[in-house]
Amino acid sequence: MYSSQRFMKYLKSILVLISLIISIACNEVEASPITNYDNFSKIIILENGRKKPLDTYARNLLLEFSGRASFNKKPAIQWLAKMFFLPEETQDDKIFMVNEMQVIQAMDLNLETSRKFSYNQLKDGLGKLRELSEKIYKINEKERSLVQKELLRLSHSINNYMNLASCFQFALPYPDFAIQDDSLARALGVQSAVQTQNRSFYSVFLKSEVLNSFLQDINTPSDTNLTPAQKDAMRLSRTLHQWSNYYKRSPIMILPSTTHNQKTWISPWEALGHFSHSRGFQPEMDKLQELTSAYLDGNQVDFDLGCVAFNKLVAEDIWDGHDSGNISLEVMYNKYSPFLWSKLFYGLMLITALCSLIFLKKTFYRISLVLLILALIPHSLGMFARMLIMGRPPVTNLYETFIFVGWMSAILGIVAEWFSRRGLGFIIAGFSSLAMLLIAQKYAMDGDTMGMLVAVLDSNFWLASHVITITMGYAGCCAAGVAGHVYVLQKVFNADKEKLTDTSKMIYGILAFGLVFSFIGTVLGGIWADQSWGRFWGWDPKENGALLIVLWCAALFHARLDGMIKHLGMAIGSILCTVIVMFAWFGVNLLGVGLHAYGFSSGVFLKLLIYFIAEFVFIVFSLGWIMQKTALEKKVKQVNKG
Amino acid sequence: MANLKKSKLIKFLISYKLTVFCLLWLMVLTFWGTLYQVENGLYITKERMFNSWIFMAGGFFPVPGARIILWLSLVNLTAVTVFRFRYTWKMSGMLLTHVGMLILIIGSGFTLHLAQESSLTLKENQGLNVSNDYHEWELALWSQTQKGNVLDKEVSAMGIKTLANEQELRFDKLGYELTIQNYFSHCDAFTKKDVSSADKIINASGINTLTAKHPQPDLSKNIPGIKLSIRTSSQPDNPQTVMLYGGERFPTSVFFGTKKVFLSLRRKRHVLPITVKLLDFKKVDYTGTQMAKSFESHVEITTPSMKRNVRISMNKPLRYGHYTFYQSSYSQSNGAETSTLSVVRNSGRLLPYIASLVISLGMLIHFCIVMIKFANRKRAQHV
Repeated sequence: MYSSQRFMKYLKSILVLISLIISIACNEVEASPITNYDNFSKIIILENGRKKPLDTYARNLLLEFSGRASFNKKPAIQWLAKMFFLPEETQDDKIFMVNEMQVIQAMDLNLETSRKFSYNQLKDGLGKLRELSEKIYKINEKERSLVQKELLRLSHSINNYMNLASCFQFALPYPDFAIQDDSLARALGVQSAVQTQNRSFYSVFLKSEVLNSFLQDINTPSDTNLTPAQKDAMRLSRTLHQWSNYYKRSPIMILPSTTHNQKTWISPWEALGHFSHSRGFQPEMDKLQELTSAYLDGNQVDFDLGCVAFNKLVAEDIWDGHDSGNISLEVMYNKYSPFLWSKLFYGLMLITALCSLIFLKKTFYRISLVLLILALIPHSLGMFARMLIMGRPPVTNLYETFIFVGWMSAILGIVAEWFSRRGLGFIIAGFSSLAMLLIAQKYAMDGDTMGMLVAVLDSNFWLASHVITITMGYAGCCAAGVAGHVYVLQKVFNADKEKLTDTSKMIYGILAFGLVFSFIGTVLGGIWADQSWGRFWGWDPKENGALLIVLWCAALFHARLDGMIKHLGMAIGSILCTVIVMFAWFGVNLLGVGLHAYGFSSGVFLKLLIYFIAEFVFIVFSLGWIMQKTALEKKVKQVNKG
Repeated sequence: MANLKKSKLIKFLISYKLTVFCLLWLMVLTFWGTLYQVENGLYITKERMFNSWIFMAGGFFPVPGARIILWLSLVNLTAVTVFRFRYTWKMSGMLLTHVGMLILIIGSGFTLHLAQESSLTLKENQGLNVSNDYHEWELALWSQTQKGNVLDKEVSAMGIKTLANEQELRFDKLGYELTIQNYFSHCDAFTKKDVSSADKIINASGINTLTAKHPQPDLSKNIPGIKLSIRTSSQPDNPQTVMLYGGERFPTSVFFGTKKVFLSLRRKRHVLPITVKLLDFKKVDYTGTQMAKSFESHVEITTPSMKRNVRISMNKPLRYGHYTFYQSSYSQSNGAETSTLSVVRNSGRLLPYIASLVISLGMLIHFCIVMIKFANRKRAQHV
């Protein structure tokens, strides 16, 4: 009896598994025959002043909509293509992330609690959403509640979605542009066999002159003596006109153009508007039509040819044919996501390094070393690729500070390991680098991580000197903080004296590194400020943050010299130093005042607060534990003596 | 020297405890000041915490300000450099660092007492050799005579920082005496129809009423106003009443017979050693956005010896003697462009640079010495 029950259970789970495999396999079959989007990814789009591959645009767009840079585990670019060429098919895709169910209720919708919704699910509430967002716009930005902000975000996403769905409408076949009259079809050069097929706006638009020749003799639109051909021409001409007007503001700037001697980029619909006086954009537009048709026909070869030809035309316009290679590099950077690999290896390395402390010491130690090197390779390559793409030093925004500090911590860990060879350096490297990359991942949610710089930051010299040194200072302090935690834990778990002294020395060295670079960074910042704002020091929050780090480290070293604090004090001081670094790093940005307010961060306050509280709890409890233990040991000694 | 070292005072002055106290207290002030400026703005925070000797926390509890701490640090550093340091190669890095700190603190004192900030707003093709103060105002009087094509102005100006009601002001050079009837450090100006004033009020913009407003702690936001009577020194019994407001565009003119005098309440002017003329202002945006890539003012400066062209942009200021001119802001309206340069005069400008260099060098040297020592010890252990 029992065994048959078990057998049924197994059978059930096997059946579930099989059905799952079948459903996945079916999904594969259903997917569009276009499978390779490499060339499509490389189409250049201008957004927020930066020329970027469509691939990056697609990722950021989906990130903004859904909080993920992919859809149903497929690359974002694949979804974007569907959105451009088969917009109706994306209407059931659950891509709109809603963090507050109150938003759905406010839109008068009755939907089940979920995190993601499709356009079709939300469309009935759009009127209400528009009405609400108009009201919210009138409220001061700082006074908007969380739900209000979320409503605005959703409204913005849906608007964006609807606009994007229209940007390739000119190339998609519609019954509106099918030709009904034979003589008109002949005049337009369309074979009678395919005459009644759906056609695209663009194919008819190119023949506007022929249409106009049919309309020349008509005096009034309500003329009753019109020939069927004239009637059809009039219908087509009207639809063309309506569509041009309706879609003229459609987005995506993918066509470089020169107006009034100034370089600008325009959207395909704007380019169509220019056709009335010049047909300069026809080659590009023809290619866009070709690649659209190829996508719809599922013809991979033609799709690729269309994309390559279009990219070549654009490249000729902006680089005189010499592609700088940055676009391909960025597509590659997106594809291989180097920091994801680093995270994986740092994580594994942290585990093996911890294992090496307990058992199979030598083996795990060696594995850790290999893993650390494996993590550092993609980390360095990723940073290097970003530098090449942007033509900038490695740190230009908040996101990149985390990437760089993570990298620097790994290097510091290796150096520390070189000196101590007890695996502590691995723990420092693994822990801080992993933490930094995870924080960076959160910041990447804000959108493009390679944005353009405000005028005052547009100086590679200062970015390379001040920003790098100050972030190196941050890295030193953070790494010292990790070592501080290790020391306190060693103390709690009764590590032997030799180990304790070793850790303590390491804290001392790394913290000194932190102090030296924080100080030099702060001073270089002062010099930059003197160059651009006219004062060396102005008590600006970001400057104050850096000063706090320097003062704290200096106070620790002086207190240590005098014996006011000893090893344990130094360890706890270095933990507190990390707290101060966090405050200086992104805490001050939350204040929203000062000249450095360009590194804006939202939603960080709570997490920062939790971190601060956690550190204080850690310090209080471990210190309490250690003090109690020492008191007990003293008593035992006294009793023994007695 | 040895005796001196044993004295209690010197022991206290060179103690690490004093250093640690100064560092920690400066930390407290910095942190406090950072949070304080969210509510109260930078200017008030600076005045209250960083430029003050002592300030009242919560209105009643006296707390030392950054100024007193920096003085203490200065004394501490001097004492330490003189009495504590052993002058050996090993300590050379640390010694340099501390001497650099001394220079840095002295430099900050220079900046506090000697630096003078003002601004210069120019339309395209306009040239000026005076800049406007951010905080202080002055009462200016002038008479002008036309000599052929040249307008000859004789100007006298007085700061109004300490002005009080009923105060008498004498502009002897021009021959006028003024009595202040009302002085408002911050006020609004109105033109009211039914003002029942005994005497006629003269004002170029038609202002006849001033109402006091609560003065802003940030002095640059205050706009003062004055009601005064003016008479010539030769005919003291024929006074005329004048009202002046800081927000006016044009000066007010008063006639005494055929004599005409101009009065104006304006931001205090500083005379510059050069004339700056704005030739062109350029703002370049990133393609397809409103986001500025760069701002640049093309100016022509006239120095006593020559005229030359200079480009002032973000991160690239113009230095002339103790003066530095920075691109600070701009406005574009109806095709006319205006550029604002901030002007800083600071004779101790180079001190922070020297100090930074010395300290950084000192720290690097010390760091290297320690690392070499550590590595050597490690190697010795291995052997």
